Amino acid sequence: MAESAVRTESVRVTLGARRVLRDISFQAQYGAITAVLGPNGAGKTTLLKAVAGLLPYEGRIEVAGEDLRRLHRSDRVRLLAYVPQVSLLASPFRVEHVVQQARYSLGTDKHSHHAAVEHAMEVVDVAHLRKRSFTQLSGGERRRVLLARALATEARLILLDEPTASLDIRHALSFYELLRELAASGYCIVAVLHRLDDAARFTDRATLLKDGRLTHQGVTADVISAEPIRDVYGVETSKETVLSFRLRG
Amino acid sequence: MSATRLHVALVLAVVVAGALALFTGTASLGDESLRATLLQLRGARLLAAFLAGAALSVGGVAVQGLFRNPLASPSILGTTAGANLGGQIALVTATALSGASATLAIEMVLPIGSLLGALVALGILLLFLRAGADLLTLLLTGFILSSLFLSIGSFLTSMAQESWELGRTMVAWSLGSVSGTGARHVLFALPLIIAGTVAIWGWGHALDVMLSGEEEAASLGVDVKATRRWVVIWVAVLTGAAVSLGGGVAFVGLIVPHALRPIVGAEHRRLVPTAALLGGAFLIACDALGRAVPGRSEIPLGIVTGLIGAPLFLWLLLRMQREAYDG
Repeated sequence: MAESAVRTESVRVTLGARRVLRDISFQAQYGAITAVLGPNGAGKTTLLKAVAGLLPYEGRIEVAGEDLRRLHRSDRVRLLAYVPQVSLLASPFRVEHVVQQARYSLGTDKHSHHAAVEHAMEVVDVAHLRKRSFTQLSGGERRRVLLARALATEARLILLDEPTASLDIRHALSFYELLRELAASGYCIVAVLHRLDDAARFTDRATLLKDGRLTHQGVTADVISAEPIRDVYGVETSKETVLSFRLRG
Repeated sequence: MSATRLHVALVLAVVVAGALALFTGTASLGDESLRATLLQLRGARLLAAFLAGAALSVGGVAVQGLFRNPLASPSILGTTAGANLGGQIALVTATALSGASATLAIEMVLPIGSLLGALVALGILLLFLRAGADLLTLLLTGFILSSLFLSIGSFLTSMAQESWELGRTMVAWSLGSVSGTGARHVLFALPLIIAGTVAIWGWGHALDVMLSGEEEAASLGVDVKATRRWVVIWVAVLTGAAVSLGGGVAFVGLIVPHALRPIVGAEHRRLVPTAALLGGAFLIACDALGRAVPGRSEIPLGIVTGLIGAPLFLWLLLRMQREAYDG
C-alpha cells in the first residue's frame, strides 16, 4: 500500500457549542486523489481545515508521519497546502506575486523560491499570466493561480475545498485533468466534492461523512454505490448515464 | 511608471512643496534681519508636517492592509482619538499645575501627553487582542474607543472655555496644526516615525499574504496573531507621533494609500516608502496653503486637509467605481 500522506485518529472538532466532527479516522495516500463527500453540513470542510491545521481539534492528525501539532508553521507549509473554496483575495496583485506568497515562510533562498514558483506556474499553465492582475482573471484562471500557489510551497499533500465549484464544464474538466496529472506524479490530492459523478469519474478513493461522522471510506467505486449513498444521502443510485463530457483533442 | 521614476518624482514633490513652504508666510525671507529666524521656524514646521504626513500615510497603508479595506484610516483603531485626548488632558493638567498660560506649558507636554494617550488606547486594544479578538471585534473596539475619547475630549474643551487662552489652545489643537512646532518636537517624534515606518515595511510581506484573508494567510505560514498585534502596535506609535506633531489631521492616512495603489500596486513594501513621501509632500503643501490664504493669519491644517481631502477622496472613489464598472 502507498505511503499515507495524512492519517487521522479519532479526530473531534467542536466549533462553539457544536461538535462538528466525531471520531474521524481517515487516511489518504500519495499518488491518489481522495474525495471527501457528504451532504451539506456533514463536516467536509471542517475536516479539511482541521487537517490543514487551521482549527483546534482533539485526537491525532499525522501528516507524512509527523504529528501535526508538533509541526512548526513553516514545516507545515512544506508538507501540506490548502486551497479554500472561495479565496478572499481581491487585491490587484500580479499573478506571479500571488504565487510567490507560497514562499513567505520558507526561508530566504531566492534561487529555490524562484525555481519553485516558476515550476508551479509551468505545471498549472499560468506562466503566461504572470504580469496580469489577479483581479482581472476569470474564475477558472484564478483557481489555477491558487493551485499554482499551493504547488509552489512544494508540499506533496494538496487539500482542495470544492475546487471546481462555479467553473463551467470545460474549465472543470481541464482542472480535473490537471489534478489527475498531479496525482500521477506522486501528489496526494484530497478534495471536498459535492458532485458524486465527478468523484466517481476522477478520484481513486472516497470518504463519506454524515452528521460529522465518517460512515464509509475506500475505493471510490465501492463508496459511491447503492447502499452507502442511500445511507448517507437518502437517494437511490442509477446506472443510467444521460450525458458525459470530455475535453476535445 | 517604474519604481525609480516614481520615487524620484515623489522626492521632487517633497522638495518643491518644501521650497513653497519655506517661502510662504506673512513675513518675507527677503528681510535679512528675519531670515535666519524664519528659516529656523519654517524649517522645523516643514519637517513636522513632512513627518506627520508620512506617519499618517504609512499608518493608513498598514490598517488598510490589516483590515483588507481600502476605506480604512489609521484613526479606525482609536489610537488617534486617544492621542488627541492625551494632548488635551496634558494641556489642562499642565495649565492647572503651573498656573502659567497654556502656550508656555505646551512645549513638550503636548507631544508626551498625546503619545501617552495613544499608548493607553493601544493598551486597551492589546487587552482585547489577548482575549482572542478577531478583526471585527478590533474594528468595533477602535470605534467605541474613538467615540469615548472624542466625548471626553469635547467635554474637556467645553470646560476649558472658562479660560480664554486655554480654550483657544484646545480648539487649535483639535483642529490640527504644525504651527509652534520646534526642533525638540521633531526630535521627539522622528525616531518613533522612522521605527514605525521601517517596522510596517518589515511586516509588508505578511500584510500582502493577509490580503487573502486570515485563514489562507495562516495556511501559508503567516503568524496571524503576531502580525495583527505588531501592526496595531506600530500604527499606534505612528499615529501617536503624528498627533504629537500636528494634532488632529484628517484624511491624509485615508487618501494617500488609496491614491497610490493604482500606480504602485497593492504590495505593501512598495506602498510604504511611496506613501511616506507622498503623505509628507501633501501635508507640507497643505500647511503652506493654509498660510497662503490672504486676509487671515492662517487656516488650521486639519481644515485644509479636510477641504482638499474630502473632494479628492470622492473623486478617487468615483474613479475606482468607474474602473470596476469598465472591468
